[in-house]
Amino acid sequence: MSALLTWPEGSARLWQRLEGMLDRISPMGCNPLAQAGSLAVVCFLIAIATGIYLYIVLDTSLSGAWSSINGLGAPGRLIRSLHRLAADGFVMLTAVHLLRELTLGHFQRYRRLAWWSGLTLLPLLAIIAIGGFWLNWDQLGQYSAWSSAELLDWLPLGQNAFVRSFGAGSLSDRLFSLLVFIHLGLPLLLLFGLGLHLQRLNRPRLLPAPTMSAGLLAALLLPALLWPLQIHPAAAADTLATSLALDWFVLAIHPASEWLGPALLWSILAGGFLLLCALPWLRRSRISRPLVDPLQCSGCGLCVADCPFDALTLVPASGTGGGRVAWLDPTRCAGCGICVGACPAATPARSRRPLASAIDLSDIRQADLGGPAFGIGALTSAVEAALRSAGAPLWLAFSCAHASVPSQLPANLRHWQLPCLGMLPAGLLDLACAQASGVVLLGCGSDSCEYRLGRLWTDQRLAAARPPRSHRSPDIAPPLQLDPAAADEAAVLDQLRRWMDRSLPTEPGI
Amino acid sequence: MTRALQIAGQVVLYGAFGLFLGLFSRWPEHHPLPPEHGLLKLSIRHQGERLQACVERSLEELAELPPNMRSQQRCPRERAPLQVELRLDGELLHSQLAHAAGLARDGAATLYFRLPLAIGEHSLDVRLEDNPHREGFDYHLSEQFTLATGQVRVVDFDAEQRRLVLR
Repeated sequence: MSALLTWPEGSARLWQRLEGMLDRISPMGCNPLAQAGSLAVVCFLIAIATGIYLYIVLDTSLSGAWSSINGLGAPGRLIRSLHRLAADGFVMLTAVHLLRELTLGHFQRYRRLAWWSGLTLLPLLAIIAIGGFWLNWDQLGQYSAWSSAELLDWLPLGQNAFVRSFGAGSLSDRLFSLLVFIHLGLPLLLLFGLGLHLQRLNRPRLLPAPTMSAGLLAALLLPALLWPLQIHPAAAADTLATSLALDWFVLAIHPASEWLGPALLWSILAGGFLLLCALPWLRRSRISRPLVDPLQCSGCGLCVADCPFDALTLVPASGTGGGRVAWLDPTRCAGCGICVGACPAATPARSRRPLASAIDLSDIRQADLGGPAFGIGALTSAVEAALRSAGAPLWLAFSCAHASVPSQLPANLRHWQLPCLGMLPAGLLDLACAQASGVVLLGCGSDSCEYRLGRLWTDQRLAAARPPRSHRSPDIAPPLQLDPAAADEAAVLDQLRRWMDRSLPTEPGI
Repeated sequence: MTRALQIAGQVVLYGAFGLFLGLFSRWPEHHPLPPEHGLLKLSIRHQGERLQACVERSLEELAELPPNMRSQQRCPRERAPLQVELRLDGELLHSQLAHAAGLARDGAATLYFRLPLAIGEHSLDVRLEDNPHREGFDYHLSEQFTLATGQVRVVDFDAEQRRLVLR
């Protein structure tokens, strides 16, 4: 049990490293591992579009289904191949998405709804995908139908009703129409479930960048053109094909049932599913949550707009005529602190000392000294003090708690760790960049932010494209952004040292 | 990394993904049956006889019932379980007892068994019992048959002719 409680730490580092490697060849926001979920949605849309054509040409009767698909011309066969490959892609990318979220431990309290709703969609996806093979009513579809029926009939549901339904003389046009209806109707339910899956996310990314969608479409077209799908011979009640070109992405459950037996297979499937469902209870971690100071809050709503998990809303402030203040829903809060970075009151440009942010999270640590965690006001004071007292060139590092930061950073690099770099107010970074020899941000990859939007908001604030904006003068170098997961520790340290050498202040007159 | 290298890397990545999908959507081939085998199935759905015979109601019993429920006979609903034995080439390969479906055990009982079988000639002997009040089996099927590669033969119960058949 202890291994279960601690496992994601090591595997998460491994996954971050993998995503970091793909970051090198992916433009910003286009990492296919991080975007596996939205790529799966693209596959789903391709399957729907091609499925509409197939529904038009399909004769939805037992006797006519096979010949209607067998008679397709070359364009029709290409569309059918694309339909099948899109379904395969959907299954595979969904599996990658699940593996990613599992590995990174993304099933915590604030992600429970997304986790559970996503898991619920898996059986639905399996029914839609497997049932699609039956509609041709070729030998592969018949084998899948028989095998599925035997697997279902092992459960004490209906007295071998499924096996009998697909037996000789039992399969009717009416049952076949029902199968078509299920294959068409359940995707609507899947769409509804997808809405639930994304319900608690601010700015959910349903679709990837257009270039990624185009790349995926091209990737599906490649095998569809190279090896167009061949339909198997028509099904016959008295024949079972001895050799089948099985689609292993969708139909692997049938050989698994033959090799393991229905009892063991159902035990593995049900046990695995229940274990995944129980993970949010089995592995819990402490979450520090921010505090709103209603006296400082102006009700500007920037924190509400920036919160990745929709944990903040504006509510009427008590005692003020029509004013509003931010209110935090603790059940949705991830403790990322991105709201602190969004708060205009958190900037050191404010004359008030000590700095009092309208929303603050006491989860910042001075990495090299340890000690208790503190909030953004104390961080601002510490940065100002470090800059004032620096006799020699001083570099500042801010790291994300989820980034794989090297254990030994260079000695003259003062280092603070935050829950997410999105917690850093742009004004504080402006101050640091203006007065230190250099500032480095050690965070997640461009597309792998632990809290989804922290890296994006930081980039946009630094580019003065999102409030509260950076007002850094053009002649001041912006912070260096490094993803330590993209390389090994020695390479990161080497990169840091070279950057520090380059940014050494030059003596006047030299 | 230069833009050109990034694009080349993505072409390789997406191309490999497409080829991976294309390959495993059809390969390796699966063989549901061993070489030179067919399939013998036993698939029976049949209502056993009632466990208890119907009894006539007395006049007193009828008088106690509401007028719309005064049927002359009272028939307990529970059905007998089915007992089946399947012998192939003289060897008993399957024996199964199947209870009637439903909370009151008044539905049909179903039996299912599948057996991959080497091709060639076989002798089949199936016996089915559905009436506990009679000694021995009630239905009997004895047949020689030849099985071809991939052929599926099914032992079923013909409800109209009330006999076991090999389809």
